[in-house]
Amino acid sequence: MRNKLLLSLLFIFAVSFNALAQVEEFNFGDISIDDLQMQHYAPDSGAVAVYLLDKGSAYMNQNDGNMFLDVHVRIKILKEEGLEFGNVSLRYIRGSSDISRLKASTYNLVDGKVVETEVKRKDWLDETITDDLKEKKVSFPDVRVGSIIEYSYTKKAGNLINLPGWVFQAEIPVRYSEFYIKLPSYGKYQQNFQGYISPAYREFNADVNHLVMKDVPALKREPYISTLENYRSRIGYEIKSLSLPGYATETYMSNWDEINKTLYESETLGDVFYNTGTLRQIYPEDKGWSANKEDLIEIYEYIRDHFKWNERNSYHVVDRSKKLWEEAEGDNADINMTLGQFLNKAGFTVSPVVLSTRRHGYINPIIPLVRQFNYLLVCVELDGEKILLDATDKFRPYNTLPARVMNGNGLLLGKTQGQWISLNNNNERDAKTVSGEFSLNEDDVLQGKININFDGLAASRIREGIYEKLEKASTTEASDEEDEGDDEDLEEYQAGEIENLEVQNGDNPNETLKVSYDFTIEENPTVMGDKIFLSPVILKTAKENPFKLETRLYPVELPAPVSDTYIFNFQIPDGYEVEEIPASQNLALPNGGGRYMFVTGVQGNTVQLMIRLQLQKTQYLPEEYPALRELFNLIVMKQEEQVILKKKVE
Amino acid sequence: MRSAILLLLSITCLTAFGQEYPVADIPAEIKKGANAVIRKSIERIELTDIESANYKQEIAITVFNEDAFGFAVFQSVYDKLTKIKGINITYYDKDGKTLKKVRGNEIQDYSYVSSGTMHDDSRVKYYQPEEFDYPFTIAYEYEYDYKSTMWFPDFNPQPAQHLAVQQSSYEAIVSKDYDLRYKLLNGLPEPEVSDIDQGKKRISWEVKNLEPVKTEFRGLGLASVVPKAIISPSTFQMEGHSGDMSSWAEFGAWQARLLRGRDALTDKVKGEVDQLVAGIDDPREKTKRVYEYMQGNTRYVSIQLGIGGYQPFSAEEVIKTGYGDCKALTNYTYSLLKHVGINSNYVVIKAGPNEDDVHTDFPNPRFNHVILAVPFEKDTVWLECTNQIMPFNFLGDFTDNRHALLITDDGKGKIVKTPKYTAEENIQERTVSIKLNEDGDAMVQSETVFRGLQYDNRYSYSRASLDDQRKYLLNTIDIPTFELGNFKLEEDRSSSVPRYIEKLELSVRKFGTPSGKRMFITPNVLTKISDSPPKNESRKTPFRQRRSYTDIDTVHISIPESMRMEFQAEDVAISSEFGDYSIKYSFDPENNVLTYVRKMVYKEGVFEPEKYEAYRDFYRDVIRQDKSKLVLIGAT
Repeated sequence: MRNKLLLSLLFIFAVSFNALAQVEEFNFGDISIDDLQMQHYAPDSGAVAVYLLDKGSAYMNQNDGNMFLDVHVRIKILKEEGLEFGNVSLRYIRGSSDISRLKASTYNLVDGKVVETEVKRKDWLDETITDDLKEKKVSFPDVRVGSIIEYSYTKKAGNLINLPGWVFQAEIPVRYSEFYIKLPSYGKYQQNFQGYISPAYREFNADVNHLVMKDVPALKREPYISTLENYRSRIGYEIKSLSLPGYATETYMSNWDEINKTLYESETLGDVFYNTGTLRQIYPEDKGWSANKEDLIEIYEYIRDHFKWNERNSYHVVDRSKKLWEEAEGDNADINMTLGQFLNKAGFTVSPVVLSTRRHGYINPIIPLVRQFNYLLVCVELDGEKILLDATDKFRPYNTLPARVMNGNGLLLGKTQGQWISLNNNNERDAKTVSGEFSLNEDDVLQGKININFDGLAASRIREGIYEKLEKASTTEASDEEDEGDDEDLEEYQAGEIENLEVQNGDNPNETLKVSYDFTIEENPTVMGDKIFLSPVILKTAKENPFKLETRLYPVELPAPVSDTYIFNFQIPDGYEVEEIPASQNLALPNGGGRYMFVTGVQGNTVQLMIRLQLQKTQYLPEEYPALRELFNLIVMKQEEQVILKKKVE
Repeated sequence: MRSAILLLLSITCLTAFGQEYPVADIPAEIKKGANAVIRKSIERIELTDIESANYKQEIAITVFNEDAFGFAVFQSVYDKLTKIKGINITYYDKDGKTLKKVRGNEIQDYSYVSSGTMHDDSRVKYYQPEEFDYPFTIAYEYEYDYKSTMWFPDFNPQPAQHLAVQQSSYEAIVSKDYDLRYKLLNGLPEPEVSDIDQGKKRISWEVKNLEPVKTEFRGLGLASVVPKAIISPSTFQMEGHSGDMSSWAEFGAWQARLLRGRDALTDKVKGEVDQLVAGIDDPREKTKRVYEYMQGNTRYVSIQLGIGGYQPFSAEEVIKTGYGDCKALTNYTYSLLKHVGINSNYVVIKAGPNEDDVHTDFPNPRFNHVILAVPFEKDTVWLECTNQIMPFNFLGDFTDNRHALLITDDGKGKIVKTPKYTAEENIQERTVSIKLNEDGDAMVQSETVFRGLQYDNRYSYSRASLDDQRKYLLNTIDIPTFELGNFKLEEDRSSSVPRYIEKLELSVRKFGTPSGKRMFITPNVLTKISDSPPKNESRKTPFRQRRSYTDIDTVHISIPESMRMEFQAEDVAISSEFGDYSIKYSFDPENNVLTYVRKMVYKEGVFEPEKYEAYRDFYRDVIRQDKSKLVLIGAT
């Protein structure tokens, strides 16, 4: 479902047919007075600077088959904060992306005339960052608010196999961005165009790709997005095949079935995964494993607790150490392959699953390329159910995945055929249940006890902190007054001043993480005259609306469905009775996106309150955003409502 | 049997030999609470002649956990005047067995240029190991050849918190008649001084078994706790420029010599400036015009090259390129002012909002910034020359209230103090009117004026795009849910005290929470304190509020006609040495308008640790009062 959506987004182009008029010519030094006089960039009045022009033209050098990219840039400085754009650094790698034909000038308007200050060749510093990575940099002279800087250069940019791409969107707005590439006739290429902005001109054919975008807004971060790069407007190229004269055609990219076959038979993936021979020394034969859930969990935990993940990601084996088991440390592929081997040997039906992590971006299904993968999981089939396993995190139970891998679909490799499998439907939840019992003490201070059960991601988030502390404690002697306990990680779940904090199953990820404490809250309730006013929601579902902006450009992404329950019981003090309690309320998002329940009642001498929030989806599209935002508005308002008690008339 | 014991003994001896820094050798009493322990550090500096010195450090550090992993990374900065050589790095496991000897070609060499710095010749030698099993030990050594003697490393044996020290020593070798100057801090004893060969003397310190320290919330920083010697030359030389650091006057004279003859202007600029001030008599106004001219025609680019760290580019160079660093732009402004007949002074300063002040009794060159002072009859105007949008005569918290070295008209140095912003100056004054309806929904209008340092932290938002302003407001307004209507963020520089003005229209649903015939309102809508200082029952070190501020909120709430207040609201006044807080209510029955006035004054000061509980109580009281609710009830 999600991939279909993305696909359709990728193909939405507003094609304009009078298009060629959109392509403009720019000559170096041809600066218009209007642009120099410009004080604000109309589409974004607050922009500190704007790219008036950002143009790249790519072509192949017929002699050596290298690609070259001519770049031409003009930046208008609009505010003092934009003066830094007068400092330009161009990075390159010596030998592979050298820069030549540098030309640069600053332009100012002086007495109505354009005055050019040329950047001399000696003004460019050539600096070594490390080894072959170098940087040409310059501070343009005479740059002030109102100036335009212009530069152009030619850069070696890949070859027949690696064509250069282009990024249309930047951290400041771009008025005109153009990319022209003459595709080498020897190759067949798949272009990959992404983003939410329609080109003003588009020409895609076998020889030439030519795109113009106008008034491209600055790319700005929004909360609840896995990586902004998924939304940046850009184009890239992948080679499909190459036919050089006198050589056989070489195929680089075929289709996902081919890739499945290649990986399944690869000596760095399928071969290792299904090779149980290397386990001879370490596999506990005497255990008499059989393929059931108990053994699955035991093997999973055995591997998980044995290894330390070095925080590197890979979809296949990269220089796997012969002493991997003894070193007990490796990347995710090292660890999960070992898990696969163990399970295989124990008689389970296992398959490798390759995928792309959230940081690495979505898998683009129209580009069958291995390079899109950067992670490997294990899939076990047990009683007709597919369970995805990742043994990299010490605090994670077998049936949950870390947030970083919950990113669309992964490819489950099979002997004859691969299969796309959803990474989000792995029972992962983000769940907690809060229950509180409280009453007033003799000083009219609220006191009571809170129990919270955390499951799924909600528990993992807290365990990460607990686990770090345990690990630290294993090698470090704490000083005497050092606070034990886990207050920091639990801070947002604390009501008032707390005591007797207890955490159960902090290091036992298969069980529910349980937290309990006693608390006192002084500012709640308020006693006035013969009345007591109490805010009964002592732990809030949300302190404030997390969705503050009125509109949203990109989808809201959550790592897992949310399910939170709050149950509060407040004991009515002797001599008082209920005058008012908040009304019950039931809210739902359209299309089964989620719901919120707020139920109140009085039972004997207890005021009871039950709140439940469920968000069932992991992605909410921009058009669903207003409803999601409104739901949280209502939640935040509802939880402020008061219980009013009054003294009984004797 | 007996030979077996002997054999055992000799094996133990053998294994002990060749083992380096086993963790078991660390005394138990310094291990508690330590993330890392310096096992041994030996520093040695020798002044070889007036312009060169050699420095060598050997150090071994045991790292207990990943919080201290930074100590396991070798990182050493060098430049044209500081050559580095002789790097050796070895890692040992907890028993002292060698884990890794780093080969020379594994050490990386980067350009060490901070962002925003365009021209800098600093580079760094860098090696980051894999994460070995904790605990493990890094031992390394390196040498610097200094081609300048104006800067000596301090003896700072305990440079971080949660760091214990088993043994650390420092020795300086100088000729017998050389006055090596030092200032001892936090109980470091006087050094041992002894004569050695060739007319030289040795000055040395050693410390042993220092327990780890931990800085506390709003404490005075590590520098107020750990033993340390600041070390400085007397006579010194840098790229042929010799000077004497023994007094501020002499050090200032050295700086003054570097400034000499860099104030020539081009005829074009002279003409422009003459035109700018033509017909103006008031020297202050002239200064303002010149300052704004400088801001409009230059930009800041950081430059740090050799003596260029102390000697500015000439004014002519700034005119040619249109940019400069703090030295060049300050010197340029000085030159422009000189041309229009106004005398000003170059001031070297340690900038940053949270820097410790310089030790005025111990001249040494640890400054990082330059500003300009323009003395007038009654007061002094201070100019920050690296910021193109800063108002005239406004330093902000970057260089306020601290000692700095001013270069006098006769070419000497003198310690001066930059202005301090008081509670009366750092003001946020807010007027809010709230129109509440019977459903509890409210229209809120607010106008807030910020001055002084409260202006400093905000004025740049008036320049942001509407979209960014909107995001900024949505993210900072502390109301759980609201819609932002019209708003305006603007700046007013028309008077000598610049102001930032924020005008807002908010619609707040359920500002009042209805409950049957009642409604609850929290009159403090926009200026709430929500975090109290953390609990600490055994506070050990003093704490500080660095600057004073005042917030005044006047909130007029127009109550629906059908409702009235159920209970009389009571005024509040909490006074303490940390601040004064008050709430005053008044009610206008004719219009059914309740007025709430909140005043909070934060008082700067350094307070003894015993007062921490009272400090926390004060904030907790304030937080409670900020949340306090009023009850409205239907009038029927």
